[in-house]
Amino acid sequence: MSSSKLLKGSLATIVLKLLEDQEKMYGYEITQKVKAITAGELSITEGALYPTLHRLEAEGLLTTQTQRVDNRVRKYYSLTKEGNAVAASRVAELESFLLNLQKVLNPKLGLG
Amino acid sequence: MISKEEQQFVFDYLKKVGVKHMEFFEELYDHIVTSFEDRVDKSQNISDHITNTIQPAFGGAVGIRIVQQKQEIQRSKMIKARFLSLFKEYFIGWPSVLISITLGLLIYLLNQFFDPKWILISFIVFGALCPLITSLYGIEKFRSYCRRNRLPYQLSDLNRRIASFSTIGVMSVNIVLNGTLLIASGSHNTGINFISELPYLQIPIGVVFILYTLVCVQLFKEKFIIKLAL
Repeated sequence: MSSSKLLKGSLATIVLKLLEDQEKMYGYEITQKVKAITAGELSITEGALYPTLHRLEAEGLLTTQTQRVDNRVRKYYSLTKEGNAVAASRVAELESFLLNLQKVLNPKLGLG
Repeated sequence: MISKEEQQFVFDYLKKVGVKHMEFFEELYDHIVTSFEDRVDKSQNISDHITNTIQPAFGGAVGIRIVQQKQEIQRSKMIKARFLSLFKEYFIGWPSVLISITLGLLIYLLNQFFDPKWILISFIVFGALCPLITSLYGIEKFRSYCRRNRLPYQLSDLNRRIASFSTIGVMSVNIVLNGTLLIASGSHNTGINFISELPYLQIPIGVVFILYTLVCVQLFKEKFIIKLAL
């Protein structure tokens, strides 16, 4: 299975976590940030990112504001109050899942 | 900064792949241009950049259309949720519920002085047409704003979604009148006559139509885009 398929399930959590740290970001910036953090090991496709951003916005977890940059409109996403709370719980949930997954994949680690 | 020709190329590309609404157009245009300005190989032209970088990342032109469709679905859901929550406010929210009660009393009082049939017709016509006319006016105003400013699009998906809610009133008139005619009234009677004779139907229907107008007006005030803020 490619890493992009593994990434798909946790994309919303990644977006929420990035916005929790960064305050506001635009679509292209998010893709580049993930690339930079993982040294190019993970890359988010725009075809998956934008529907996730739009869904989170519709769910009220993200809010948007526009800004004119170089004579074009840039749409920034940021967390709402509710989004902040959800981000913290989703990140904790994913961390615990990864820990358990690690235990399953490498039982010796779990025994220690 | 990209040149005028490159800008036009992106505009044409977006139109060709079917991106015609302001919201996704602006977002995708910014994405393409930022990505192009950020490219590693500076000798790569805009056409090659779109073909080799943008299109694969979105899953081709079909992928772009899918992203747009998904956004439209999400937007519809968002407006529907807001519409229902505003409507609910008038029944269980304080002090909004006072408006509903006042409207009910107003219809009751008007019934004492005028023909209930004409009161119902007035409320239904006003309730059904007011949101429709307002939304059509808003759409046309946005279109003329875009034309005046020579923007590469003339439609806002948000406006279009809100406008679709403003047609519910007109459709409801048909359902309310023909539905009652078929189900409850005889062939000698019309739906409007039948409802007008029953105050427990006439008053709530009149109230609901006016509340529907108030909800639509609130939606227009909150979300409708007449001109760009920037």
